[in-house]
Order: sequence, then structure tokens, then C-alpha cells
Amino acid sequence: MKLDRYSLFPGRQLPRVAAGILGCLAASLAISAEPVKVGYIIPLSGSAAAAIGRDMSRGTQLAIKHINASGGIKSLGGAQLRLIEVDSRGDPKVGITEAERLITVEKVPVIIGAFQSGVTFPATTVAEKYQVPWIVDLSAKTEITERGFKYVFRPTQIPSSGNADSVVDFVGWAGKRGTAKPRTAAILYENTDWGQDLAKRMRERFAGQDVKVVLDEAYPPNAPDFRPLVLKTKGANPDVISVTSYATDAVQIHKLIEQMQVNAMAVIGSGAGQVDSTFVPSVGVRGTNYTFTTNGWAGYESAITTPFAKRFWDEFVAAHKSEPNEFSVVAYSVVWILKDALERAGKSDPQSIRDALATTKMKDNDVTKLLGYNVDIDAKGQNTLKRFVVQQIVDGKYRTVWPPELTPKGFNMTWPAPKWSDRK
Amino acid sequence: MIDVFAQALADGVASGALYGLIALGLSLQFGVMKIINFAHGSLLMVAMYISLWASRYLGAHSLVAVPLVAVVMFVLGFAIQRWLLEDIYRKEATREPMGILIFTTGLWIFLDNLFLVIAGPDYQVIKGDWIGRTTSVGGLMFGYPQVAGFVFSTLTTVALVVFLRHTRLGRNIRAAGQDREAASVLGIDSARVYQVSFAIGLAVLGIAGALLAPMYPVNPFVGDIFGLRAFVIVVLGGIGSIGGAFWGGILVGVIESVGAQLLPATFSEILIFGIFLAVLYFRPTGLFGLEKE
Amino acid sequence: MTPLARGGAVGAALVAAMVVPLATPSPYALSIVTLTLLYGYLALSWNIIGGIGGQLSLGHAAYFGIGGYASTLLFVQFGVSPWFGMFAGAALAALAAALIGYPCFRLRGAYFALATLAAAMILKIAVENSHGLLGGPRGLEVTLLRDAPLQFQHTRKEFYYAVVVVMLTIALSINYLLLRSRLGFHLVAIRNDQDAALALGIDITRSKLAAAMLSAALTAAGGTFYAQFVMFISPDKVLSANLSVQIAVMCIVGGRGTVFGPLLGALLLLPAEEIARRALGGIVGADMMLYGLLLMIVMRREPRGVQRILRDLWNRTGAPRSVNAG
Repeated sequence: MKLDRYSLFPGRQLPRVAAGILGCLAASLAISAEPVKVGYIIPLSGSAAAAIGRDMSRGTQLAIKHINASGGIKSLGGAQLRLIEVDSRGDPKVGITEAERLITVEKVPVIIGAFQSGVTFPATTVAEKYQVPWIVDLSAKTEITERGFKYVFRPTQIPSSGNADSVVDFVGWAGKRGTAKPRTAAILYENTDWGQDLAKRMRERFAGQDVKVVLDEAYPPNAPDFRPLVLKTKGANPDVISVTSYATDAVQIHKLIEQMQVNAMAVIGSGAGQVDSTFVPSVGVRGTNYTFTTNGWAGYESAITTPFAKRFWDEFVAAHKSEPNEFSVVAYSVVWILKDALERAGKSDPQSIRDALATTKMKDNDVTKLLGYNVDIDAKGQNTLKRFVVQQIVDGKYRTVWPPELTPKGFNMTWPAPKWSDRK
Repeated sequence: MIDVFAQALADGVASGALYGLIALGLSLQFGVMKIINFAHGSLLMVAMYISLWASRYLGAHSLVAVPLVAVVMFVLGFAIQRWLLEDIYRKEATREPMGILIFTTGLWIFLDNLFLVIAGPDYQVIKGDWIGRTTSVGGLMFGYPQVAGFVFSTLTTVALVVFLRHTRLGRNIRAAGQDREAASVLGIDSARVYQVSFAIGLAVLGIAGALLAPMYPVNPFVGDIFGLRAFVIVVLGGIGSIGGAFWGGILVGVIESVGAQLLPATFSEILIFGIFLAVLYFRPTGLFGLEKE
Repeated sequence: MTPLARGGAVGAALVAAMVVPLATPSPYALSIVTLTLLYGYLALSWNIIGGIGGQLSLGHAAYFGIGGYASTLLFVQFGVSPWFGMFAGAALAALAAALIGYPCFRLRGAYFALATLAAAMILKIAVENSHGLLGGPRGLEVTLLRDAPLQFQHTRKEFYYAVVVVMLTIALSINYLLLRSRLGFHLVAIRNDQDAALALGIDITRSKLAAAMLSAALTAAGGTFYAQFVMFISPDKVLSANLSVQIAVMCIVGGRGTVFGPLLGALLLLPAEEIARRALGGIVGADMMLYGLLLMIVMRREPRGVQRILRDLWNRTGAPRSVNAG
């Protein structure tokens, strides 16, 4: 082996060797730049939210890997990102103490997290106190960006009312298409801050669309039995059924809607349980067919259009044997939004990162094409441009149907959904 | 509208029979040894995973898996009582068994997180053609797993009642539960009786888990959902009363199902706990705790 | 060594021990210490009814929640300082303890445990369904004022640490005095043999009621502290059955019925949890597995708790006799 290598050395191999040496030099320069620590707080145990935390963590880790592999933060001399991930267990106490530890012990200049609003809301006060920027990933509690904080940014989520608006606007739009106009609606939602926020908005907005809410039902999350709820819904016989649930609850509700043959023009999910990567495999193709759902992400057809997005998708699927969902996509994108800020800041102290984040404007680039919306942080730290699309699940595939300009060519949504007895 | 109520009543009975079965093992342990086993919900979760794995890796039909899960859980129960609980129980036999309570709390936390490590946080469902099928009886509609749950829960309960009443071992178990000292005077080996009672309790829980698994997605925290409810049912039915646990389960199932048709779904929980407290105050022996010799 | 001198020596040692954490420059470490002491305080509060009184309460989250909700509601709605709200919450919790306790005291052992567990769950469900005043599942947030010690909030962790040390000292003193009082004597008698206590002419219900109300009031003050520390409360956290169990676990693992046992439980379990998380952070769930295992090991070794284990070790080595502290 050794001999071979020496025999290859002279002649035409020389330029390649030189390039190799230069590459090594560049790499060692990159390594010499101080890495940027990124604090990451996410629920990885403690409750069913752990599965979502895992999906998000995968997206985040992949983004760190991609950014580091492509030369790190160029304006910081190729500084690498170093993720310090901690498990919040869904407990606000842990969120607070971990935020404190990340800032004062690990000395991270920026934190990302923490999915659950109940953790993000109190933990962001710690970041604000220490003047360390916090990028909120998917926590939807309105008040997070309403406290006049200067260090809290929410580029990839809007308050739940935006999600509810999409449901109602879509129903209004679908009704005007002429095939069937919905007159009544049932809203089913988990009795949590998230479920209540969505329901409140839907209640108000449905009235304006001339749709009567005939059933307005909160249920305890992780209830032992969903039959009574679905039976009650069947008894109310609504034209539209809105289901605001996380994965395990959504799976059971949709299974029972199929089993108990609850016929409605449309069953519309609020984009949590219904966009979970396990939803279709668990409920089955027949049970999910024609189901609508909002989604904070436009889906494969509409969003995986660039090489950037393709690389994310392919490597994610290869590594985890499952397709990325909104949780993973947002987690992946948030790190790239941070990268953008770091590049512009040119420094890695909290104040510089904060100032850069506050002026984040992304338009029609790789990241926004993956997300499906632009990013423009306002004075409150909120990106108001995030939006929810509505998709219809057909044969296990999510097809975007609203807003209509995002609908794939040649695809027509099915409204009203056929009766269960008429389905195969 | 009548149809909805009839369906709700029938659904409530079917779900309730399974709730009763989940509580049954707890009631037996509670009644015989006066211990509070906080790991009950987690052990249900373990049973559901065994059932899931049996159907996934052995290709067993989930009803075929029922006896298999029961056997595994029986062995597990015997081992837990023999090698983990017995010593603690002996040390504090004269006082409130607080040590067992804390020990099983530790076991609960341990098992939940053990399964988080080995099975991951995802919920998983058992697949099978029969699971989505429905049958119609007198205009009411039932899912196959629902019917199986009801039928086998009822059969298991009846079998256990017969066992406790009409076999020597069963009578010894009941005697040990009613009066420990008298039982030892009669020459009953109480340590062995406790091992068997705990093991039977878990075997029954295993059956319940295997019947529940086709209906409810399994994740490492699923035990919490049913565990607390099992305590409620045990006390409603009367501690140590096997029939009581069954009827207590049905009562809870019916309140939940019929109550939800009349009230917001979240209120049926209040109703269940309210009735529970009322029973505790006014009839601490339980609503159905009439099984005295 | 007279009991008084010994008490004084222990007290001085404690005060010294409590000053030490202030020397640490890390607010994180101070937060962990503060939370540990809060749990020690809660375990001591539980000890009054659960340890000394021997009544296995699994519903203390109810009192904790009442404390948090009462002070927060008074503060947010009427601008009443949480310092006063703390007392209002304590009074309310004592009332609740009487309401829950009075009928439950007829129940013994496991029945009592389940009754209190159910009572706390009803309260949680009720709060989750009260969307107006109590915010339902959304919870309540404490208005952020930053440095306002008169409103029970401060950005410096030393503030909370000082408060919790005072609370802990009060709880330790109450436990210490109670064990030497008439009420304490009655409670221990009831715990050891209720029928014999009755024969001695002890008013069982009154004694239990007094202990339960005192225990609840102290627990509620802990709830107010939590609300001010986290600045946000929601029913799934402050009223959860898990919290009730956790409080009882701390006390029993440490050593129920003793003065220092409950504190010991918290001092052992919370740092253990934190260290396990640091050491095993890579494997999600492994830290809590270890925590569960620790509970199991302690209970197998000695159901009366760590305090007992340490005392036995101490006696065996014969160390105390050689101490010449006089």
C-alpha cells in the first residue's frame, strides 16, 4: 500500500495533493475559530410529547451537521456550531433551571426551544433577564411575544388563532365552490391551552361564515376512551368536523370516525396529530382518505423543490427511515435562520446575535422555500408571515388544497367527502 | 336520539368491563395484602408492549397473544413479589405499608423510563384486519376488539370468582386477605399465598393489556392513563371484591359514556371522581363490596 | 450534651450550611439548591400529617395548587402582594384540608390515601374547566415586575434562596416543636395505635384535623413560593397527582416522622436526579430510570428511610461517643 502511494505521487497527482493540503489548512483554520454554542431545550421524555421532541431534535441535529459540513459560519472564520441539547421533560421548573445553566454555566449566546408553551413561556423570562436571545420554535401561546421582551423571537410560529383562521377560511372558501355548502360544524379539541385557543377563535369566526357550531366539545387529552366523544359527534350530525388533537388522540378519533361511520362533508384536523408521520400508517389509508388538515408546512410536493430541501429530505429519510414532518422541518429551518443571523452579526456574543435576529428578513431563499413562507421579524419579535396551508390526504399522500395557488397542478380536492358506506 | 343513548350505554358497558378487568388485579393485591401498588399502570403498559411484540415479531393474532401475555405476566408477578416486595412487606407488616407504596412508585418511574429507552417515545398500534371490522347487533354497532374486550373480560372475571370461591388455593387466598393471623393458625403459608395472589393479579392485568392493545395506541406512558382510574374503580367496587371491581368498572364506563352525551366530556371525569368521593365518605366498603362469607 | 445544646449546635451547623451556597457564583447552582430546599420544605410540611400523624395523604398537590392560585389570583386581579396572598392561600388550604379531612379521617391507611388522591384530582379537573377566572388549562401568569421584593419577585436568585431558607427554618422548627408538644404526642399515639389512643381519651379527629390543617397551610405557602419562582402556574403542573406522590416520596425516603428525615429525602433525591441527568443526558430516560431504582433500593434496604439507615450506621461505628464537642 505504502509503495503504491509513493509511486502515484509524482506527475499529474501533484495538483490534487496541493489542493488537499490547502483544504486541510482551511479546515484547521475553521477549527481554530471558536465554535458557537447553541443551547437547545426540548421535551425528550416525561410524556407523549417526547415523540415530537425527538422529531424536532433530529431536524435540529441534521441542520447543525449540514451547516458545519459546509464550512460553518463564514463571517466568524468558519466557526462550527456546537449544539448543547437538554431534555425539559415538559416541566417548566426544569426549563427554567436548564435555561439558567445553559446561560451561566455553558455560556451559550443563544437558545432554541422549547416546543411546549408551558415551558417556553416561563423559561424565556430567564433568557430575557440575562439578555440572551431565545428563538421560539413551535410554541403557539400568544403571550410569548406580547410581553415587550427584547430577546425573544418567534420566526416559525404564529399564535394558534392563525391556525384556526386557516380552518375557517378554508371552510368558507370550500363552501363557495358550489359542490356543497356547510351549514353546521362540530369543534372537538383537547382541553389544553392550545386546544382552547384554537376553539375560541373557531367559535368566533364560524359565526361570521354563516356556519352554526352545533357541538363545541373539549375533551381531556389522553382520555381512556374516545367512543363517547365520537358518538356524540355522530348524534350532532355536523357538516364539518374540526379535530384539534395530538397524535395518540387523533389516531383514535379518526379510527372511530371511520368505524362508527360518521359522515360529514369534511373532517379537518388542526395540523398536530394529523400531520404526524405515524398518522396515516396507524389509521390506515381508508380511514385517512379525504381527511383535511391544516399544516404549518406545505408538504413534499410544494416545498421540496430546491437542492437544499432535497438534501434535507433525503438525508433525513435515509437516517431515520421516516419522512420529516412539520416538527422536523421547522426545527431544521430554525437553525438556518440562526445561521443567517450569525453571518450578519459577524460576532458571537448574545447582544450581536440578538440585534441580528431582530432584523431578520428572509425572502424567497432556500429556507423560506422549505418553510413555505418568508421571514420578517417585527418589533415584537414575531414573524407574522408564517401561515398554515390546508391539505387533503389522498391515498396516504398529503396534497395541498388551500390557499388554491399552492395546489399542485391537476389535483382536484374531494369535497364533500363520500359517505363511508360508499367507500371501498 | 334514543339510538345514541342505547349505543352509549352499550359502549359504556363494553369499555367498563375492560376497565374492571384492569382494576381486578389491583383489587386482589389490595384486598389480600393491603398494599397500594403504584406500578399497576406501568405493568399494564408492559403487558401491552408484550402483546404488541408478540403480534409484530411472532406474527401472533392479538387474541392468540392473550394467554401468552398472561403467562409472562404471571411469572413476572411471582418474581416481583418473591424477590422484590416480600422483604419490605415483612419488615413493616404491622404498620401502614408505606414502604411498598414508595417502592412501587420507584418501579413505576423505572418501568416507564425503561420502556422509553428500549421502545422509544413513539406510540405504536397493532395492525390486523379484524381490528377495524364492525358488527351490528339490534341496530347498534360494535367494533370487533370492543366485543372481544367485553367477552373475554367478563369470562376472566367469572373464572377468577369461581377460582377464589371453589378451589382450595382460592379459599386460602381469601382467608389470608380477611384475617392474616387466623389464616396462619389454619396452616396457610401466607408468603406463598401472597406470591400467588400477586402473580394472579398480574396475569389478569396481562389479559387486560392484551385486550386493550388492539384498541389503544401503546407508548411508554400509556399506563398513567389507566392506572389512576383503576384505583378509583377498586374503591368504588369495594377493596378486595372481585365482582365489585367488575361492576365498578362498568359503572365508570357507563358514567363516562352516557355522561358525555349529556354533559361536556371533561365533566364526566368530575362526575366519576365525585361519585368516588361520595362512596368513600358514605360507604367506604364500596358500592358492591357485599361479598362477605 | 443537653437536648437544648444539641439543638443549638445542629441549628448553628444548619445556618452555616445555608450560608455556603450564597458563596457560589452560579445562579444555576443556586436555583437547584433553592428548588431542593423547597421540596425539603414541602416534605417537612407533609411530614406533619403524613409522618408524625401517620396519615398517608396523597393529595397535597391540592394545597400546593391552592396556595399558588390564591396568591396569583389576588395579585393579578386585585394587586394584592403575594406576601399577603401567601397567607390567604394558607388559610384557604387549611379550610380545604378540614373539608377533605373531616370525612376522610374515618378512613384508615390505603382508603385515606385514595380519598385524598381523588379529592386533589377533582380540584385539578375543576380548575381545568374554569376558563374564566382561573384560566382553565391555560394557567395563570404572574405579572413580571422584575426587581420588586415587596411583590415577592426579584431577578436575583439570592432573594428566593433567602426566602426558602426562612421558610425551611420555620418548617423545621414547627416539626421540632410539634414532636415535643401535646398535639405531637397525641398524633404519635394515634399513629402507633388508634384504638389505644382512643382509650387514653385522645380526641382523634381533632388531633388529625389540627395536623392536617397545619400541614396544608404550610404546603400552600410552598405553592405561593413556586408561583413566584416560576412566574407561571397551570393545573397540570401544580395540581398533578405526580406532585402529590413526589412530596410523599421525599418525606418517606428521607425518614417520615422525624425532624430531619424529610429534608434529607429532598437533599438526596433532587441532586441525585440532577447528577443522573448530567451523567446520562445522552440516553433519554436513563436518568429517571436511575431515580426510580434509587427509590426501590432505599425502600428495600430500610422502609423507614435514609435517616434510619444513617442512624444505624452511626450507632454501629460508635462515632458519636468520641465527639468531644461537649
